[in-house]
Amino acid sequence: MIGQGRRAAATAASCALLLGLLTSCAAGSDPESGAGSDGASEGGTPTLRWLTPPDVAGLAALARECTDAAGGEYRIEVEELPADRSARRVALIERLRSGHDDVDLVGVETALTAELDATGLLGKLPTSREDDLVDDRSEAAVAASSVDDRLVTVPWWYEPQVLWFRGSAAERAGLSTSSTVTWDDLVAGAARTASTVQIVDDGGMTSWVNALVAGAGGTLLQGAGEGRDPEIGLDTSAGRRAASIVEAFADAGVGPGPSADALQQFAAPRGAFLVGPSSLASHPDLAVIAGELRAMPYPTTEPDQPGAPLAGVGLAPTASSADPDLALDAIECLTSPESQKTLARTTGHTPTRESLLGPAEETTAAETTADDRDALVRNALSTGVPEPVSSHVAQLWTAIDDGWAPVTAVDADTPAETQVAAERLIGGGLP
Amino acid sequence: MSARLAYRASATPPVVVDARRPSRRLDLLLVVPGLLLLAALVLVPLGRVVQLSLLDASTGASRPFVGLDNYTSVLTSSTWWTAVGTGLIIAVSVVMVQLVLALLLATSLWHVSVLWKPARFLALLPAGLLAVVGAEAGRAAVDDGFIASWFHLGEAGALQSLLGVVIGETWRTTGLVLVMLHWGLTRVPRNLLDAAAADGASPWQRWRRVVLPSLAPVLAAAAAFRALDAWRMLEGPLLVHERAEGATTPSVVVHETAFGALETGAAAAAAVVLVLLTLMLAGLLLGLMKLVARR
Repeated sequence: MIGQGRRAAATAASCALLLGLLTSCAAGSDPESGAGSDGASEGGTPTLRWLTPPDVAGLAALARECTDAAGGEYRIEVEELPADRSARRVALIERLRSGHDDVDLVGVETALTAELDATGLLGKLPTSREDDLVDDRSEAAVAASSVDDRLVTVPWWYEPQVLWFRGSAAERAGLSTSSTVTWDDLVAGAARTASTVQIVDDGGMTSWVNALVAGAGGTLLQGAGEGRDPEIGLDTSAGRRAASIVEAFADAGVGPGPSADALQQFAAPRGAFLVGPSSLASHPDLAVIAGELRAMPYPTTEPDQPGAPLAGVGLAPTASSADPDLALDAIECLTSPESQKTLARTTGHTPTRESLLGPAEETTAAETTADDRDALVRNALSTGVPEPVSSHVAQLWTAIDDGWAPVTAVDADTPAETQVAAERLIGGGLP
Repeated sequence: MSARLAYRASATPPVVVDARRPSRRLDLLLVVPGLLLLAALVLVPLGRVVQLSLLDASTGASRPFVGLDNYTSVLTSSTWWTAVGTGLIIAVSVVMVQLVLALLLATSLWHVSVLWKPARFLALLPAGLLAVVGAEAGRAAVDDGFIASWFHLGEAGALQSLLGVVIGETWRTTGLVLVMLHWGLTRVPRNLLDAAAADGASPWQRWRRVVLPSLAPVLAAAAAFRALDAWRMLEGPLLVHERAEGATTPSVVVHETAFGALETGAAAAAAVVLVLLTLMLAGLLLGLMKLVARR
């Protein structure tokens, strides 16, 4: 009896094992599905996969333009990263670290340039072609794409934040249109006219604090080369001035601070002011009010000390690409003058080619026409505040987002508390 | 029959030699490969995590050795200890609620035994759901579902969502405790109950003096099993979207540090500390079970 039971069990077990082995063998011999590897496909044209931060429009058109211009040498396929900033960073690094060689070129946000460089996952830009790559690019963009004076990514677009407003909202709020506006004046004016000041939230809190601290004469993070031990300038008089401005903003009740539906609120009836990137003019969410959209320079911390937050994206080949030279050719096409003109037209981003920007002129506020807006952007690029540079910048984001948001939680102790939290996080620990 | 008589008669038990039984050495030879595989599957990842916890491992290509720095930062982190506190509170409250509920249900079903089969089926049905489904149902109920409307709860905060998650988990797994306790109740010695009834004990006294003591080992086992499960809960608290002080469990802190901040060195150290804390908790519960069994 027992022997029969044992035999039956043994037979069942060996059958299950055999079936398992067979299915795993069958699954392993499946041909690799989907395009993406750099092998020959569709008659021998290599496909270059381009992993890049999402944009409201235009990426597919840019890829198509460069594929056509390549004349059969390569084909660019675009893949967008997630919308959330932290998710973008994780997705980019994990994808490159995974070891699959299916990503050939990446769009790297300028805030993450130092971190991606430290990972060793980006392909080295050949020094022989470096001069070509920085030729005709704005200084600010090249600086943002370099680490220790070494070019890490090829500058693609780089733009400042501006103060958008609708119609005559600035005049109604009593804001001077012939000189720069301070945050205090903006908050007071908005409160007086019962209008709202929306702030775009894609790293909105970090760029706001960065601009405030820089405007007050401090530096949010310096000593980038110190690795885990940079100098954070939050617990300083500049940091405390920044906190007082945010506190006044919250007390006046003119807005919720950086929020996900800033654009919708701005386009709604009570919306009057919006602090956000200069590319928002072409954003579909603002299409309804496109006619009455006007721009002013970013509000300052102290009077007559302009400093708008700057941000952008650079392109780089990956280290694991099967054909880095081909990827670099594609990047050169994507940053060529024609492609940059298409970029400016479809996405509204500011190209890094100086020949397309024109000379910087002294501008006054309340620019209405598109030409005036270009001058505003050029001026802001020269006086703007770049993002903090560190290979652990994401920890700084976390510290600031946790400590300074919501704006109603900011008080005089916030800078000191977030300084401690940021030092803990950047130092590699738990908060 | 005769073998049993022989057993009682002799002083030492007879050694039964079965020609079909393989020798002890062969036993070991057959078992050792499996044991080695098991050890490898457990010890190799654990060893890798310990190694990682001694390095400054983040997104950078270089991973310098930093010794116990990661452990220092974990043990001095207020977020970590708050999460441990929250985890303990969740474990204790889930265990208490589930034990009381399941005990009430099991006792009622023990008396009305005809309902046991359908009740057992209904109770085990939620346990067939994925943990994340139960937790999400609980969280949604508390955030803007029926619980929010019944009790007129205000705006959902992180702690409220965590409470919802715990409610969802409790609902999902109470059936398992119910089955365990019902089994324990069926094992209560009938003759003791009859003797107590004959001695004139009231139902409450019978419950306290006969049923509960014989049920104690099963209760302790159920408590240990549920406590460890609730302590390591990850899927549920991950659904709590807003970050807030005191609204995470240690598992979530490890997950966020490893896959959100990509600080793998610090996360590995936190994971090792979590394993040690869990071993301590398990040891405590085991001691409790032994204590109950001895009484």
